This record gives sequence, structure tokens and C-alpha cells, in this order.
Amino acid sequence: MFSTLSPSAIDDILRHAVHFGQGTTAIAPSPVTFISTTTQQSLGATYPGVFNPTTPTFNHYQHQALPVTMHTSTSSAHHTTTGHGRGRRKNSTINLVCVVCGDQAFGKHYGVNACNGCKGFFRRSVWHNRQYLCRFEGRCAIAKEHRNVCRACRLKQCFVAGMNPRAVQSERVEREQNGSPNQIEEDDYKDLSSPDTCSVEIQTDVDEQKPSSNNSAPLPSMELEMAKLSEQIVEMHRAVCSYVDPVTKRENFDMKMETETTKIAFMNAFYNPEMIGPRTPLDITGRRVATVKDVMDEWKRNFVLFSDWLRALPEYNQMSIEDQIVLAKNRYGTFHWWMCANWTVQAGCEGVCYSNGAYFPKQPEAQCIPDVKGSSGRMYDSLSIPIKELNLDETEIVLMLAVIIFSDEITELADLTPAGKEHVRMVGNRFVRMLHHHVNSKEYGEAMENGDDTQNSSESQAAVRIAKMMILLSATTNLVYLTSDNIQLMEVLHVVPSEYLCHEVQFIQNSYETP
Amino acid sequence: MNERGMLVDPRFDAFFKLEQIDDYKYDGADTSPSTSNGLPETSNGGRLICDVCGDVAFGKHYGINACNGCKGFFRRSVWSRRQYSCRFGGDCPVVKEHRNVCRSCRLKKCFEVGMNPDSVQNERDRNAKNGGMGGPMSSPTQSSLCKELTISNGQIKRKRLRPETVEKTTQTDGKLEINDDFDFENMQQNPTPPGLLPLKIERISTPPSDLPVPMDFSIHSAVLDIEQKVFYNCPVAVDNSINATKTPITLPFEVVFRQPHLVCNRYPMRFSNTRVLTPEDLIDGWRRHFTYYSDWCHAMDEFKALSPEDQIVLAKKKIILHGWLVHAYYSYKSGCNGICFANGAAHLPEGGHPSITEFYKECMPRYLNYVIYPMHNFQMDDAEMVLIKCIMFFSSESGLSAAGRQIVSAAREKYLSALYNYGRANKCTTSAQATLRIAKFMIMLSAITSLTHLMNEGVHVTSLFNIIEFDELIQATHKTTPPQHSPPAPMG
Repeated sequence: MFSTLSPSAIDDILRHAVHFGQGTTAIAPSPVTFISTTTQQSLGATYPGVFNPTTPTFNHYQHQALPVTMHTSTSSAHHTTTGHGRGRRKNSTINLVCVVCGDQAFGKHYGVNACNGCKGFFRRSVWHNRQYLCRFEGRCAIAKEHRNVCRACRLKQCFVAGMNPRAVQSERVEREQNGSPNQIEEDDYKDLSSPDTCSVEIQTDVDEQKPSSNNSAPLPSMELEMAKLSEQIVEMHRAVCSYVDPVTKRENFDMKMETETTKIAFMNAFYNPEMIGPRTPLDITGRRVATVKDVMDEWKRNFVLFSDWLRALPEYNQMSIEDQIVLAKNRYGTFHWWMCANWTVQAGCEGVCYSNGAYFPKQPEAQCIPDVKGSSGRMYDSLSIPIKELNLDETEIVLMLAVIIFSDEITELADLTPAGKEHVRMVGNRFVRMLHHHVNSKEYGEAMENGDDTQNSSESQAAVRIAKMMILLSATTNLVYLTSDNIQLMEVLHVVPSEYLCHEVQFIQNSYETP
Repeated sequence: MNERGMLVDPRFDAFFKLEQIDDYKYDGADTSPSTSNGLPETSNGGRLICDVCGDVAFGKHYGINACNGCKGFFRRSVWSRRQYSCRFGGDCPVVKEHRNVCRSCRLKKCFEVGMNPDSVQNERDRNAKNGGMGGPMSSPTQSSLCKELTISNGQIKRKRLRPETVEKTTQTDGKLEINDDFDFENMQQNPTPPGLLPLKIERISTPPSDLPVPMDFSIHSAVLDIEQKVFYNCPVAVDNSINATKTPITLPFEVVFRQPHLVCNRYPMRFSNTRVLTPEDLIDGWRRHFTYYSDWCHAMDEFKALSPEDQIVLAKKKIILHGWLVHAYYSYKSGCNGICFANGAAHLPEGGHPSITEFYKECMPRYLNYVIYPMHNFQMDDAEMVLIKCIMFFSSESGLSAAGRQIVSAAREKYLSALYNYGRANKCTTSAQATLRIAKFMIMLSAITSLTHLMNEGVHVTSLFNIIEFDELIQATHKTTPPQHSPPAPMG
């Protein structure tokens, strides 16, 4: 008769509780006890798996309330039968009888103690609204052995005994064959164990906190390396600019230059810049107008600086000697103009600022050498003014120098070897990326204070800034060609007064040669 | 026995007794605390009860205190959109012991006590959680029953506003937080439901703030329109290149720039490789470009804003640069490997007319390696070409006035930003790639500057030795004399 399903086990426990409840009814019924019964009943219904022996005692009182009111005679009869009190579980279940057919009952069903057979029969009859007809006189005896003989009298006996048709639950398709006698407990049990219930509980009770977005992203290792490389090249630039030869050797250099009567080859001059002139301290002030000697000295000092700068650059030393010479010959003019333009901005003079404290004015009347092509005015208008407006910092100036050296588009490097061309192109792109990272970091650092919304606009500003720097290279290219024309004109017009300076002019022309 | 079974009164009596039991339970809860550790307790010290059936509740579900049974029943009913019908009078008592008797009355009571179906989550989607009434209900006495009805009415009214509120809160998470705080404060200050209505309406009527669309994304379209109008402005259909080159142009640049038809007729420009370039084709192509360049300048708004003197200074300095960029781009676009001119003639690096080969000897390698190659490498298109042309044209030059320099600087900034945004939106996936792309285009302008100087030297040498008979306009345009030295001093 017992079922091995989990709900049946719950039924068994509940039937046991009902029995004990009946036994204790006459002892001490009180309102306080009823309240406890309801509380414990709810607890039991919610946690069926944690039943303990004391709980059934209280659960019984809740059920006992209805029978006391509605079926006094039945309760009295049972009370008389079980006068001895508590007993074993098996004995307790045996004492319950079906009020319809007298079979063994396992608890209350539809309001009365009913066996499983009459319980199911009543439920099916109510579901289908069946109407039976007795073939005899309507007085058939309903007993366990022959309760199936006449269904009409059996159903009538169910109603007479007090079965409540409203207690029959609605029919469900998936449960049509096996109706459950304890729907309440089963529903609660399913709700607790099903994942839907758990997720619903979490969703309805807990207020999820939205995770705050991580604004400061960690810096990738590649960008760290780029930042380090930028710092290294700036330090190299500072070191080269601060090279100063001892003062005592200046007199010797002057004597040596006076005795020099032959032309110096570019390669010898580049790798031995001491032959050209001493490394005097850089004086970026532009406090006096340049003379012819100032122009010549400035050219020499800048060439020495150019040579030191290139040979201190690791990327330059990785090239072959032939490629190094080709690159050096083609880049001095652009290097010279970029440095002079930045010095002009630094000193704030109107013209071309030299490194010996003098400046070449852009007004023709004040010039010591005629500037037929107007290169000084062009430099001031198309190079120094934009540099001042952009407000370049030291890192940007130095990285632009590197881009100038290694950008093959500025002037043609047809004499480079294929390996040299590939190297120059690769290094040039790398310096552009370093410049982009530096400008982006500076712009983005400012944008962090304003919030994330300005990140896109700061990227655009950084790109525009880099484009403005790159477009200045057109101005330097322009100036290189104009200077070459100027030198040729000076030769034709015999501007240089002495034969000593004539060698200097030819040397300058050689360094400014264009293919 | 028969009479007892058929009477209605016994069930009625049972219902009243159950109500009394509930009342006793509430009193008992105050005197005897719970002995179970699993039961939650509110700050009031009372036990939570289900507002639907009186069972023990473990918190708020769908806006009210509900037990697990009624919570699941309500959720399943909402999910399945079930519609129950009561087989009895529609007034079945919904209490713990027989709440399963009639599902229709149980669901009706769920709605009456304020369960919100909008709070039931979709079976696979997640919605924002809505705050509801807080705290346990008052004791079920006759006076509290009236309050309950009032609260029910208020909740029903609130329910109508919630769909809009849910829509609003699902748009932004910040508003959801504000909404929650607002509800909490309002519940404390004004516990009666009618007070919620005007504030709720005020919350819903908040207009959303839309960000304006950046203007840069339409600049390249406007510039491209100007280019196409100027390019296809061809009132003359016949090519008169042979006859035109016989007439030398002696008018100065300042005059013919305003009246470009004096230099050349506007015949259709066809940059293609249909025949070998001859000196006459070179001169004619130069003139057709002059007319095209003049029309383009006068079509640009920033150019019109300049003073007439600044216009001449800028136009004179930029015409050769413009010519190199335009001829290079349209040659690249037509697939030719040399220099194509507007009249269909082309000069290839393999060879051609002897005078032209000599003229372009210095320019050709640089042109191919540093102008054509980047165009191929970066797949330059029409929009980028017109933007680069504007960037190159509007750059500071000596001779411009202060006002002119300011106009030119602003225009350059505008077109640089437009070029970056165009590349970022259409060509590159990261800002680093877009920046490298724009940097390479700017360096390419330096190569074009070199070509300009080489061509100037070429024109000078060619005219000096009478290899190609360039007229005075071409010779004057290719001189690099600064404006303050004009008229040019005779060479020593």
C-alpha cells in the first residue's frame, strides 16, 4: 500500500503526526497551542527535509480543529478506541479507519479520514461530474470487500460522510493519472528545489550593485617601451648639446685652419668633426645681428652638432658606412633648419637664431649677406611661427629630428642600399609611432580630468597635432632648396670677399648638394 | 449526518474560526519569539506573513510579503498567462490550508493585495527591479482592512505608471538608482499612495539628452562636391590644344588668375594614357590645369574670405604643388604608371619624347617612389585627396597679412581634423593607425615640395637652352622669387 516516492514519505510523516495529535487532544487544548501549531506547520511545510520528532506533535493540533467542529461523533469514537496514548508508528496508522468503507485510512482526505481507494474514487467522480445510477434500491452496503459493486451508493456515502467536493483540486493534464493527495507540500518542495525559484529569489530580493567601470587601464608593455625609448633619445639630445671642448685648444684649431689649403672630404669631416671647428657652448640668445664670420661659425658649429647627434643614435650606427654617408649628406640641411627654427622660437628674435649668440635678421637692409631667395623670412613665417603656435616640448622637438633623419620621403635617398632603405623606412615608422604615443599620452592625460566622453576628441586632437608637425617638413624641404640656390648665387655674385672664405663656401655647397 | 453534510453554515463557521486563529497567532508572535534560526525577522521584531494566504513569508516578492507557495503560483500564472475560472461563487477563502482549492480566487487575491506582474521576470530575459511597498502589513483588524483597501487602490494606480517607468529605467542605469532613492525617501516622507503620483509623472517627463552629431563628418562631402563641380565644368566640348599652344600668354599671373578662360578653354579633362606626351601637350596640359586650379580656388569659401592681395600671394605659391598632387592622383587613379595630363597625353618612365624625358629626368624617380607609391600603399581615395589638397593649400606663407594668416590657420586645422575623422571612420581601426596614415600623407607633401623645386629648376634650364619654348606665364610662375623682390631683379 505504501509508495516509494518522495511525496509519499512526506505523507507518511504527516499521518504519523495526525495520530499523535488525536491522542493529545483531550489533554490541554488552548489558544496559545493553536498559534504554535500554525507556526510549526508552516515551518514544516517550508522545510520538509528537516523534520524532527517534536514537530508532528504541534502539526496535529491544526488538523484537529476542523474535525472537532465538523465531525464530533467520529472524533469521539476514535478517542475511545485509543485510550492508551502514544504508540509505535505502525500501530498508529492501523487505528485510522475510512469513514466510507471501513478500510485502513492513511490520513485525512477531502476533510475526512479516507482510504486511498475512496479518496481516488471521490476525486475522479468530482472531476468528471459523474452521475451514477443504482441498479438496486439505493441501500447497498459499502464495505471494504464489496465497495466497488455499486458506485452510486459509494459516492452517496462519500457525501454523507462529509467529503468536501470544493477541496478537490482542478484537473491537470500531466497529473491526470496520479493525483497527489498533498498538493501544498509538494508545491513548496518544488519551489525550493527548482533553479527557477532560486534565481527568482535572488533577483527579487537582492539589489545588484552595478560594477564601476575601470577608467584607468593598465599600460601595455609595448607602450612602456616606447615611453622609455623617448626618454632615452631626449637624454641623448641633451648630452650632445652639452658637449664642450676645452678652451685651451681653441687657439690650436684656429692656427690649423689657417694653414689648411685643400678641400676636406665630407667623410673625413663627418667622422672627425674636430677638423671643422671646436665645440663651443651653445648660446641661444640672439642678442646681436650676425656678421659674415658669425654665419660661417654657425655653419661649422651646427655641422659638428649634426655629426655628434647622428653618431650618438643607435639606429644610425646600425647602418653600413656607405649608407651612413649617404644619409648624412642628404639630411644636414633639414637638420640645420629645424634646429635654427626652434632656437628662434626659444630666443624670440625676428630672423634666424644662431647658436653663437647672433641672429640673421629677416629684414634685407640689416643682412650682412644678401638673402636673394628670402629664406630667412620664409623660415620665420612658415616654420618658426607654426612651431611657436604648436608650443612643442623638448620630446616632440627631438622626436621630430629623428623623424626628419629617417623619413625617406623628405628627400630622395637613391644611393642607399636596399637593406639601408628598408632600415630607414622601418625606423622612421617607429619614430612616428613613438611621437604618436607621446602626444596621445599628453593629450589623454589632460582628458582624464574631463572624463571618458572626451577620449575620442583627444585622439583627434593628438592626430591633428602630429599632422601639423609633419607638414612642417615641407617647409624645411623648401628651405633646403632655397639655401642651395642662395649658395650658388653667392658664388656667381662674388659676395664672399676673401679667398679664405671661398673654400668655406664650396664646402657649404658640397654639404647642401641636392641630387 | 445528511443535514450536516449539506449545510453551508459549518464552512462559514470554520472560516471565522480560522480568522480568530490568525489573530491569536499575531499576538503570540509578540510574546514568544521564534525558536528557529532560519526565519528572517524585520526591524519591527514581528514575523513576516504572506499577504495572500497568511503563511510564513521569507521577504518581499513582486512587491509584497509572499510565501514561497504564492510566489511560485503567481509567477507561473504570469508566465503562462493563465486565466482561471471559479467553479463556485468567486469568493473562496484563500488561506494556507486550502489555498489550492480555487486558483481563480487565489490569483485574484494576489492582484488585490498588490502583486505586480511587471516585476515577474521573463523566463530568459532580465529586467530592472522595481521597488515596492516596504514593511509588513498592519494587523488584520476592521480598521486596518480599510487601510488595506486604500493601499490596494493606490497600488493599482501606481501599477499603471510602472510600464513607462520601467522603460525609462531600462535606458539608463543611473536613473534607476536615482529612482530607487527617490522612492525610498518618498515612502518615508509621504506614506499615503496618492502622494506618489505627481512625482512619478514628473520623473517620467524628463527629456533625454542627445549628443549633437560632430560636424567634421560632413566636411569631406562638401569639399568633394566642390571638386566634382569644378572638375566637370566643361562648357567647351572640343579639344583645341593644338591651336592654343601657338599663342603665347604675356599677361601677368594677377590678371589671368581672375579670368582663367584667357589661358585655356574649359574642355573636358581626361587623365589617361592615350598618346605620348609632346612639348605642346605639356604646355597645353599646364594651361588646362591653370584654369582648373583657378576655378577650384574661387570655389573655396576660405579663399573668398581672404583679401585680394592675400589671394594672389597664396594662389601663386601653391599652383605647382596643386599641379603635382592632382596629376599624381589622377594618374594613379587611371592606373597609368607615369604622369597623365588632362588632354589624354602621358609620359611614362620607360621613355617618350626626348625633350620630355630630359625635362622629367630628375623628377620621375622621386615622383614614382615617394608620391605614387604612398598613394598605392594607403589606397588613397577621392575624399582623402581633396582634403589633402585643402591642407596643402591653406598653409602659412610669407607675404600673407595677419588676418589672412589667421583664416588660413583655421582652415588648415579644420581640414586636418576632417581628414583624421574620415580615416578613423572608414580606413583604420585604431587611432594609432589613423595617425600614422595622416602623418605619412603629410610627409608625402614634403616630397611634392621637392618635386616643385626640381620642376622649377627644369623650367629654368629648359627655357635657358630653348629646349621647350615656355611662355612668360609659365616661366614667371616657376620662379621662386619672394614677393618683396618683385619685379625680379635681373640676374648678374
